Amino acid sequence: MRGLVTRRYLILLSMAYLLLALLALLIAPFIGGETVRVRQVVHDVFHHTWNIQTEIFFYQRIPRVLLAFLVGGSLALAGSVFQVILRNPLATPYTLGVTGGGALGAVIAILTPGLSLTWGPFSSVQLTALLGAGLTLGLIYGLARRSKSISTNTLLLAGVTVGILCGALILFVRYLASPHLLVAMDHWLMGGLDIVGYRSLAALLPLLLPGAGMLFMQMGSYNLLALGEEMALGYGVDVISVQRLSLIGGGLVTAAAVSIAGPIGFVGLLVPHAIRRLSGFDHRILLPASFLAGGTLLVACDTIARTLVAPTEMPVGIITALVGGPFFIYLLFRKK
Amino acid sequence: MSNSLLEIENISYTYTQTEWQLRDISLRVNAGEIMGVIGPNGAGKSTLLKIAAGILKPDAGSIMLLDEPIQNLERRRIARILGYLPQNVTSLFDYRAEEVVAMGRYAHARGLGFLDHNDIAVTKRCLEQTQTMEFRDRSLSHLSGGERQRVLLASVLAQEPKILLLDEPTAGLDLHHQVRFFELLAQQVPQGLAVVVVTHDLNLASLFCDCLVLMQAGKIIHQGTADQVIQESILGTVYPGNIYIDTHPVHGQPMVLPLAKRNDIDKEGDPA
Repeated sequence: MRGLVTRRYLILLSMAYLLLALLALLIAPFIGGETVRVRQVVHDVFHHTWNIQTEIFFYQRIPRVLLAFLVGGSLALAGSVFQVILRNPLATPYTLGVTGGGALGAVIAILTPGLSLTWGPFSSVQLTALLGAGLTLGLIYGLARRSKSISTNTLLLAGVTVGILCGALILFVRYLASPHLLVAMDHWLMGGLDIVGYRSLAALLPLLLPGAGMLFMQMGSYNLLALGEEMALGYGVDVISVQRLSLIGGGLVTAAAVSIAGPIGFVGLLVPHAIRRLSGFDHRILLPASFLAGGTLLVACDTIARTLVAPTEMPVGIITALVGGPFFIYLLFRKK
Repeated sequence: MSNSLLEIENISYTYTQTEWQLRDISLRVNAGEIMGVIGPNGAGKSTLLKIAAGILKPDAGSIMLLDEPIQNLERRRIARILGYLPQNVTSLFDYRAEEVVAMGRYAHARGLGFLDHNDIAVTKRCLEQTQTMEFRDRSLSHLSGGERQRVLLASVLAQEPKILLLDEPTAGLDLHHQVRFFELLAQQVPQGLAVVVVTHDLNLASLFCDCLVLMQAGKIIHQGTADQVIQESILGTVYPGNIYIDTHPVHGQPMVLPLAKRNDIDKEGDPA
């Protein structure tokens, strides 16, 4: 037999993706507008001196690279799950309108600086974005929830419609906003990872960990679900429970990523497709590999975004779309 | 414990949108027999199978699986007793035949569903039984209709069920593959497997099924052996004016031939 996916195979393959991810995580913090040398950082750590380079390394680069990794991983993970749950290869973490809701929340917070809702590690914009994303997900889930099953078609249509509605409301908010607020809104809407310190990471993890946990726990069932709900039920999958946990888990992970980094396109769409081409269709490999590769990709894109036009920087959303768009078109035409 | 593996008593089911109803259905499925469910389109055959598989919940009545109410059993336990192959299985991703067969072990595996030695042995055995071993590495999109159905059957057999529920498994297959598929089923039955198969092919049902259930408009209108059910007085009410019943010249089973209202064919079959 050519081989079925065994635990050993999963571990070996995940190690390969992990190695790639570690490599990106190790190299990326040393690349950027300001040169940070390894020797300087090591020296400062051992001699308890604090050079400006070391400060940049620990308070800007490391948290930023970690955030990029976690956000990229979250989006790719959620994308791979939404594609199978919604039975649509074009589904992304944003298909359910969660991003639209998050973005609406964020622009409302930017429009009303006096609002200043802060809670724990969350800033006002992050909190309202999270609230918007959560409300959207709840609304869509409520709309699509039927007495006997969750209709994937209804979910998809409801998600797209809510996304369009949020888009219209965002335009309305922008219409009301003064020019300097418009700049801030645009900046957020382009997606970005420019954080300082570890506060944003602290805000990300409480949602990311349970959400990702829910998704990874279900990964043995997704292959069967790909053969259709009835077939999966016949195989013994508790389909409703898998769908519910996946929607909540995927929603949490997306909401966490969007509330902190804004909408970053293509990672959630392209990474799962690339992994399927490289490592097959088994979701027990697809999920961990998507998380690791999604993280790696966003770290790489963010590094480009930080260095290409240094000393300023480009929003990372532009780079991911510029890399992701052509790649996806290539995939589409290769399929034919 | 009764002889029946699956007992369906007085179930009814209503589709809320169309108000179509399945009414007062009772059925017993015994070990070691093939039951054919026949009847015209819209008779409720697939709905009955879905209810028997625990996929649709009946509005009334009871379903006992190995003497236990099916609603008390969790899905994995049901899957270890009962294998269900729906109509038109479409896969979102292009899995290899072997991967699809191995999916049948889900209900036996733990956690993330990694296979142990026994699971791999069962997968191999099912590939061999269904003569699909030679294309185990081919993906679903590279299989013919007949090969694909055999792979899906192997996958359901890998559940090691006591009952198989198959919904039109030979639809769209050529005659050779239809007969081969039913022969495969017949080979499984002596080991105690019970098979319930929904089919539109009355002749294959007559040749291979130990018992036939004839349905019309959401009701069972007749149950019995092929000789008892395939009679002009019974089938004629379901397919009025379109059938002619004869005996198979080799096997002696009743056969159903279509009758066509065509003026250009005379009784001897010569063109007019």
